Amino acid sequence: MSVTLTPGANTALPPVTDLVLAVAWMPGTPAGMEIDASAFLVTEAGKVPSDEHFVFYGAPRSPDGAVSFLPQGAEGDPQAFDLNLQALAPEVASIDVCLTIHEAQARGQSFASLSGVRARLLDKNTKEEVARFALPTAGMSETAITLVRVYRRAGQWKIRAVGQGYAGGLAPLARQYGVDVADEAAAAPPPPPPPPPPPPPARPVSLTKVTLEKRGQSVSLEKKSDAGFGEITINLNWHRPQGGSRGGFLGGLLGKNAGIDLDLGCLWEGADGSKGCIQALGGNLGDYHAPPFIRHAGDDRTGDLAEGENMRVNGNRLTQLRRVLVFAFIYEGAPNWAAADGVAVVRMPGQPEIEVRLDNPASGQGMCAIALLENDGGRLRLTKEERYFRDHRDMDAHYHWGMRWVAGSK
Amino acid sequence: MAVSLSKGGNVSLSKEAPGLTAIDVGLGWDVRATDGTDFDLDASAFLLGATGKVRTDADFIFYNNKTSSDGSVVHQGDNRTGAGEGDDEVVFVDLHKVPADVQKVAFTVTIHEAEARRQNFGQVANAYIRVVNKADGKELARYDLSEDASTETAMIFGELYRHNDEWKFKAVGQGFAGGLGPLASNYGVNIG
Repeated sequence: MSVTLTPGANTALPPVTDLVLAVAWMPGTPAGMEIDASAFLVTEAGKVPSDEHFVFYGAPRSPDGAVSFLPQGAEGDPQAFDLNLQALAPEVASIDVCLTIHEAQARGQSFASLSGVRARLLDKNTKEEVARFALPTAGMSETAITLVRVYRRAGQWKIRAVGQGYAGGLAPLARQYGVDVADEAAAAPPPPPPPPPPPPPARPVSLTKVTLEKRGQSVSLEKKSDAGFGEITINLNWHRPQGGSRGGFLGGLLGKNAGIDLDLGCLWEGADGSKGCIQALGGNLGDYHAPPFIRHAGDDRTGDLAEGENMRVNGNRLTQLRRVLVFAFIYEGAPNWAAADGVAVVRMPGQPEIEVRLDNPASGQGMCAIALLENDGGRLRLTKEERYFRDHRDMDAHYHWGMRWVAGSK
Repeated sequence: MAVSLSKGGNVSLSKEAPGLTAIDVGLGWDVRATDGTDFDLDASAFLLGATGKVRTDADFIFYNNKTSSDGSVVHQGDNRTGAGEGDDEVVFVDLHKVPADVQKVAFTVTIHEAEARRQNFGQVANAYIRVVNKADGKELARYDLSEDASTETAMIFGELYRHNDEWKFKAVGQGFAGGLGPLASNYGVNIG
């Protein structure tokens, strides 16, 4: 008697330890579409104990021999895994079976282009089906997903229908499980974006995370779901001088060892032409659920807060925005970016982080335009700016925002 | 040492912490790491009379009505970022202020627009409810729901209730079809 699962559902397995987990999709998939099954053997924390616990065609057997990839498939299904639950190392709490579409981003494919995606769990000896899960793929922009999870809970083996994943392919999926597949990520770049109008001047930036540089200073993103792009978060963090080590230098520079106060903010322009400025200065914190669909989390006067300052853009309401220019400025203290050691990070669901290090040595320029988000006919174009200005007015003039500026204070 | 409850289990808070006067009821879950529509979960509390229904609509404590009329139950608001350690939402209960005709306070969590977004509790990881002694911050009871949750879109996580002269807490873990509106109606709230 087989149990049919819907997304999110789980069921306990009968006391059988030799199982076959077979995956299938509709034959005659779009031409040139390659689908790979893989399995991550993870601990309670959801991470692999080692890279060898990532089982796929290139590494078809787990270290304990408990999970094997069957490249020829099984029971009529194109790909499958042999599971011997008894042989599984005790540290492994879950076997997550995943599907990825090879080079999906480069080819403009996703699970929405597939139908009949399903997993079946079978008793290896009797060939009897224990459970099955058919994934509804309509509207899915994911290109790498966890399909099902076979896991232990309180001494009992269970299977859970998951069907969740990432639009960014195998790299973010593997990263979730603690496997580094950086080379794979590089092999599947997103479609080439249109170049932004004037290329920003070359600046020393941190390349440790992602970098727009490799992609021509700009990325253009397709909507991931009907709802939109999800929550786009912008974090600004910086270094506050400690009394001891750098106090002498900064004491002289800033007087009385005053901390540098960096502020995060943005200029926004709505689809209807309305515009405004969101920043802690003056208390214009915006609203996430109503226009302008941008919300500032509040001021961090000291840099003491570990998380710095945060702003969220409601990517699901992108249609109501034309463009958003994210900026940072030095409110208190000399405009010394090197001392502030500020780092801005833009995060979007399913996209690599974009990091801008605010370390321009130019003096007298207390304002830095970090990134520009633009609604490009339903696509979201994100351009790294990193341009320095003397103040709001200068920056406004450069981007032709057309706001009126008066000085403010907290 | 907090009491770890399983579905249906209960514990006497008055015995766990003699002299207990106020508690924080913390509710939590892990936000999704994967792509797709964000989950928006809302915690609510219902002050219930002997009949198991609210006395008035004001006994429904949720994001638009954060404090009960007597001030005994206060919703501490939404942790909108979902980031960081700790509870996602907290409901404060001053046990001394809970009116005598309130027998029970039910704590529920609903997934906003679950149906449209095709979401359910089976897709939410590590959901729990816990009771913390306000006086010393000690956890008195905890219930991890994850394995008891599946395709539900609204769930009663737990109940605080009077038993003789004690306050007790019960791990409920019961699903409810239809979301916050029908759940509130079921407790006797008039939903406009």
